[in-house]
Amino acid sequence: MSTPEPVKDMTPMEFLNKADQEMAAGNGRKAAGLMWRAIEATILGLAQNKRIEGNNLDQLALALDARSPEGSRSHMSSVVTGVTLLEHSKVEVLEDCELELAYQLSREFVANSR
Amino acid sequence: MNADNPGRVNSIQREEKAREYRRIALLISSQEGDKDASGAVIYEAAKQCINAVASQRGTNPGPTAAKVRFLQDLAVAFTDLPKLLEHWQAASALHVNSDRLHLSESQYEVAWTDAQVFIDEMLLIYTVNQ
Repeated sequence: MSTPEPVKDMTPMEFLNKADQEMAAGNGRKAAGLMWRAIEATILGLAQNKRIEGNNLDQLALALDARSPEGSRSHMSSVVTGVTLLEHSKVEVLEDCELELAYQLSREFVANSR
Repeated sequence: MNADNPGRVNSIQREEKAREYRRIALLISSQEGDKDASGAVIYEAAKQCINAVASQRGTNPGPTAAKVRFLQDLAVAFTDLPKLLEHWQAASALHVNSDRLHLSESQYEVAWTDAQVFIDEMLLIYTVNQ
Protein backbone atom coordinates (compact mmCIF):
# COMPACT_ATOMS: atom_id res chain seq x y z
CA MET A 1 0.00 0.00 0.00
CA SER A 2 1.59 3.30 -1.09
CA THR A 3 1.29 6.51 0.86
CA PRO A 4 -1.94 8.21 -0.15
CA GLU A 5 -1.89 11.82 -1.24
CA PRO A 6 -2.57 14.15 1.70
CA VAL A 7 -6.27 14.88 1.78
CA LYS A 8 -6.52 18.63 1.60
CA ASP A 9 -10.04 19.05 0.38
CA MET A 10 -11.94 17.39 3.23
CA THR A 11 -11.35 16.74 6.91
CA PRO A 12 -12.06 13.34 8.49
CA MET A 13 -15.32 14.69 9.94
CA GLU A 14 -16.37 16.04 6.57
CA PHE A 15 -15.79 12.63 5.02
CA LEU A 16 -17.68 11.11 7.94
CA ASN A 17 -20.65 13.43 7.47
CA LYS A 18 -20.74 12.69 3.74
CA ALA A 19 -20.57 8.98 4.50
CA ASP A 20 -23.46 9.32 6.95
CA GLN A 21 -25.53 11.10 4.31
CA GLU A 22 -24.91 8.31 1.81
CA MET A 23 -25.64 5.66 4.43
CA ALA A 24 -28.91 7.37 5.35
CA ALA A 25 -29.82 7.49 1.66
CA GLY A 26 -29.28 3.73 1.43
CA ASN A 27 -26.07 3.96 -0.61
CA GLY A 28 -24.07 1.55 1.54
CA ARG A 29 -21.25 0.97 -0.91
CA LYS A 30 -20.68 4.67 -1.50
CA ALA A 31 -20.81 5.26 2.26
CA ALA A 32 -18.24 2.48 2.75
CA GLY A 33 -15.83 4.18 0.33
CA LEU A 34 -16.23 7.53 2.06
CA MET A 35 -15.74 5.95 5.48
CA TRP A 36 -12.45 4.53 4.23
CA ARG A 37 -11.42 8.05 3.20
CA ALA A 38 -12.37 9.28 6.68
CA ILE A 39 -10.17 6.62 8.30
CA GLU A 40 -7.30 7.38 5.93
CA ALA A 41 -7.55 11.11 6.64
CA THR A 42 -7.72 10.41 10.38
CA ILE A 43 -4.54 8.32 10.38
CA LEU A 44 -2.69 10.86 8.22
CA GLY A 45 -3.82 13.73 10.46
CA LEU A 46 -2.84 11.96 13.68
CA ALA A 47 0.56 11.01 12.25
CA GLN A 48 1.13 14.57 11.09
CA ASN A 49 0.21 15.97 14.53
CA LYS A 50 2.65 13.59 16.22
CA ARG A 51 5.32 14.20 13.57
CA ILE A 52 5.38 10.54 12.64
CA GLU A 53 6.83 9.73 9.26
CA GLY A 54 6.29 6.59 7.24
CA ASN A 55 6.28 5.27 3.72
CA ASN A 56 2.70 4.10 3.79
CA LEU A 57 -0.49 4.11 5.83
CA ASP A 58 0.30 0.76 7.46
CA GLN A 59 3.57 2.12 8.82
CA LEU A 60 1.86 5.23 10.15
CA ALA A 61 -0.91 3.21 11.82
CA LEU A 62 1.60 0.81 13.38
CA ALA A 63 3.67 3.74 14.65
CA LEU A 64 0.56 5.33 16.15
CA ASP A 65 -0.32 2.03 17.84
CA ALA A 66 3.21 1.82 19.23
CA ARG A 67 2.69 5.19 20.90
CA SER A 68 -0.74 4.23 22.25
CA PRO A 69 -1.39 2.55 25.61
CA GLU A 70 0.18 -0.89 25.88
CA GLY A 71 -1.43 -3.54 23.75
CA SER A 72 -3.53 -1.15 21.70
CA ARG A 73 -3.91 -1.99 18.04
CA SER A 74 -6.76 0.43 17.43
CA HIS A 75 -5.21 2.38 14.55
CA MET A 76 -4.12 -0.65 12.56
CA SER A 77 -7.35 -2.49 13.41
CA SER A 78 -9.25 0.48 12.03
CA VAL A 79 -7.16 0.35 8.86
CA VAL A 80 -8.07 -3.35 8.52
CA THR A 81 -11.76 -2.50 8.85
CA GLY A 82 -11.27 0.48 6.53
CA VAL A 83 -9.69 -1.49 3.70
CA THR A 84 -12.48 -4.04 4.04
CA LEU A 85 -14.99 -1.21 3.66
CA LEU A 86 -12.97 0.00 0.66
CA GLU A 87 -13.22 -3.48 -0.84
CA HIS A 88 -16.96 -3.44 -0.24
CA SER A 89 -17.21 -0.13 -2.09
CA LYS A 90 -15.73 -1.89 -5.14
CA VAL A 91 -17.46 -5.26 -4.93
CA GLU A 92 -20.25 -6.17 -2.52
CA VAL A 93 -18.36 -8.40 -0.10
CA LEU A 94 -20.21 -7.66 3.15
CA GLU A 95 -23.71 -8.59 4.19
CA ASP A 96 -25.82 -5.67 5.39
CA CYS A 97 -25.28 -6.54 9.04
CA GLU A 98 -21.52 -6.80 8.50
CA LEU A 99 -21.45 -3.47 6.72
CA GLU A 100 -23.43 -1.82 9.53
CA LEU A 101 -21.07 -3.12 12.20
CA ALA A 102 -17.90 -2.23 10.27
CA TYR A 103 -19.36 1.19 9.59
CA GLN A 104 -20.38 1.76 13.21
CA LEU A 105 -16.95 0.78 14.56
CA SER A 106 -15.16 2.94 11.98
CA ARG A 107 -17.46 5.82 12.76
CA GLU A 108 -16.57 5.61 16.45
CA PHE A 109 -12.86 5.50 15.62
CA VAL A 110 -12.98 8.61 13.41
CA ALA A 111 -15.27 10.58 15.74
CA ASN A 112 -13.21 9.68 18.84
CA SER A 113 -9.90 10.53 17.15
CA ARG A 114 -10.75 14.20 16.81
CA MET B 1 -22.51 -35.17 28.00
CA ASN B 2 -26.00 -34.79 29.33
CA ALA B 3 -28.44 -36.32 26.84
CA ASP B 4 -31.35 -34.81 28.78
CA ASN B 5 -30.13 -31.32 27.92
CA PRO B 6 -29.77 -30.96 24.14
CA GLY B 7 -28.82 -27.28 24.40
CA ARG B 8 -25.87 -28.13 26.63
CA VAL B 9 -24.82 -31.01 24.36
CA ASN B 10 -25.04 -28.66 21.39
CA SER B 11 -22.95 -25.98 23.08
CA ILE B 12 -20.27 -28.50 24.04
CA GLN B 13 -20.11 -29.79 20.47
CA ARG B 14 -19.80 -26.27 19.09
CA GLU B 15 -17.12 -25.31 21.59
CA GLU B 16 -15.16 -28.43 20.61
CA LYS B 17 -15.62 -27.55 16.95
CA ALA B 18 -14.37 -23.99 17.57
CA ARG B 19 -11.21 -25.30 19.25
CA GLU B 20 -10.67 -27.83 16.47
CA TYR B 21 -11.10 -25.21 13.72
CA ARG B 22 -8.63 -22.95 15.48
CA ARG B 23 -6.14 -25.82 15.81
CA ILE B 24 -6.46 -26.50 12.07
CA ALA B 25 -6.13 -22.79 11.20
CA LEU B 26 -2.95 -22.50 13.26
CA LEU B 27 -1.61 -25.65 11.63
CA ILE B 28 -2.29 -24.35 8.12
CA SER B 29 -0.75 -21.02 9.04
CA SER B 30 2.41 -22.47 10.59
CA GLN B 31 3.04 -25.37 8.22
CA GLU B 32 1.75 -24.15 4.88
CA GLY B 33 1.69 -20.39 5.33
CA ASP B 34 -1.54 -20.35 3.36
CA LYS B 35 -3.11 -17.10 4.56
CA ASP B 36 -6.38 -17.24 2.68
CA ALA B 37 -7.09 -20.80 3.88
CA SER B 38 -6.01 -20.17 7.48
CA GLY B 39 -8.05 -16.94 7.52
CA ALA B 40 -11.13 -18.75 6.27
CA VAL B 41 -10.81 -21.47 8.90
CA ILE B 42 -10.18 -19.03 11.76
CA TYR B 43 -13.39 -17.24 10.74
CA GLU B 44 -15.22 -20.57 11.04
CA ALA B 45 -13.70 -21.02 14.51
CA ALA B 46 -14.92 -17.54 15.47
CA LYS B 47 -18.44 -18.35 14.24
CA GLN B 48 -18.50 -21.61 16.19
CA CYS B 49 -17.53 -19.67 19.32
CA ILE B 50 -20.61 -17.50 18.86
CA ASN B 51 -22.74 -20.61 18.31
CA ALA B 52 -21.31 -22.26 21.44
CA VAL B 53 -22.10 -19.31 23.70
CA ALA B 54 -25.50 -18.84 22.08
CA SER B 55 -26.35 -22.51 22.59
CA GLN B 56 -25.45 -22.16 26.25
CA ARG B 57 -28.09 -19.45 26.43
CA GLY B 58 -30.66 -21.54 24.61
CA THR B 59 -30.51 -19.69 21.30
CA ASN B 60 -29.37 -20.63 17.83
CA PRO B 61 -28.39 -17.50 15.89
CA GLY B 62 -28.19 -19.20 12.48
CA PRO B 63 -27.47 -16.64 9.74
CA THR B 64 -24.67 -14.08 10.03
CA ALA B 65 -27.10 -11.23 10.76
CA ALA B 66 -28.44 -13.03 13.81
CA LYS B 67 -24.90 -13.88 14.95
CA VAL B 68 -23.88 -10.22 14.75
CA ARG B 69 -26.99 -9.16 16.71
CA PHE B 70 -26.26 -11.80 19.35
CA LEU B 71 -22.67 -10.57 19.57
CA GLN B 72 -23.77 -6.95 19.93
CA ASP B 73 -25.99 -7.94 22.87
CA LEU B 74 -23.13 -9.92 24.37
CA ALA B 75 -20.78 -6.93 24.04
CA VAL B 76 -23.26 -4.81 26.02
CA ALA B 77 -23.38 -7.44 28.78
CA PHE B 78 -19.60 -7.98 28.96
CA THR B 79 -18.27 -4.47 29.44
CA ASP B 80 -14.94 -5.86 30.65
CA LEU B 81 -14.35 -7.05 27.07
CA PRO B 82 -14.64 -3.63 25.38
CA LYS B 83 -12.98 -4.71 22.12
CA LEU B 84 -15.10 -7.80 21.54
CA LEU B 85 -16.83 -6.36 18.45
CA GLU B 86 -13.58 -4.98 17.03
CA HIS B 87 -12.01 -8.39 17.42
CA TRP B 88 -14.94 -10.07 15.67
CA GLN B 89 -14.53 -7.49 12.92
CA ALA B 90 -10.99 -8.75 12.40
CA ALA B 91 -12.26 -12.29 11.89
CA SER B 92 -14.78 -10.93 9.41
CA ALA B 93 -11.99 -9.09 7.53
CA LEU B 94 -10.02 -12.35 7.32
CA HIS B 95 -13.11 -14.01 5.87
CA VAL B 96 -13.34 -11.36 3.15
CA ASN B 97 -9.58 -11.62 2.62
CA SER B 98 -9.81 -15.35 1.97
CA ASP B 99 -11.74 -14.47 -1.17
CA ARG B 100 -10.46 -11.01 -2.10
CA LEU B 101 -6.87 -11.02 -0.74
CA HIS B 102 -7.27 -7.33 -0.01
CA LEU B 103 -5.21 -7.18 3.20
CA SER B 104 -1.53 -6.28 3.18
CA GLU B 105 0.87 -8.45 5.17
CA SER B 106 0.86 -6.06 8.16
CA GLN B 107 -2.93 -5.76 8.06
CA TYR B 108 -3.27 -9.54 7.91
CA GLU B 109 -1.02 -9.97 10.94
CA VAL B 110 -3.04 -7.54 13.04
CA ALA B 111 -6.33 -9.10 11.90
CA TRP B 112 -4.98 -12.58 12.69
CA THR B 113 -3.95 -11.49 16.20
CA ASP B 114 -7.28 -9.76 16.86
CA ALA B 115 -9.23 -12.80 15.62
CA GLN B 116 -7.28 -15.02 18.03
CA VAL B 117 -8.14 -12.64 20.85
CA PHE B 118 -11.81 -12.80 19.82
CA ILE B 119 -11.76 -16.58 20.11
CA ASP B 120 -10.04 -16.38 23.50
CA GLU B 121 -12.63 -13.86 24.71
CA MET B 122 -15.55 -15.97 23.54
CA LEU B 123 -14.10 -19.13 25.08
CA LEU B 124 -13.66 -17.18 28.31
CA ILE B 125 -17.34 -16.18 28.21
CA TYR B 126 -18.19 -19.81 27.49
CA THR B 127 -16.16 -21.01 30.47
CA VAL B 128 -17.60 -18.38 32.82
CA ASN B 129 -21.10 -19.46 31.79
CA GLN B 130 -20.41 -23.14 32.52
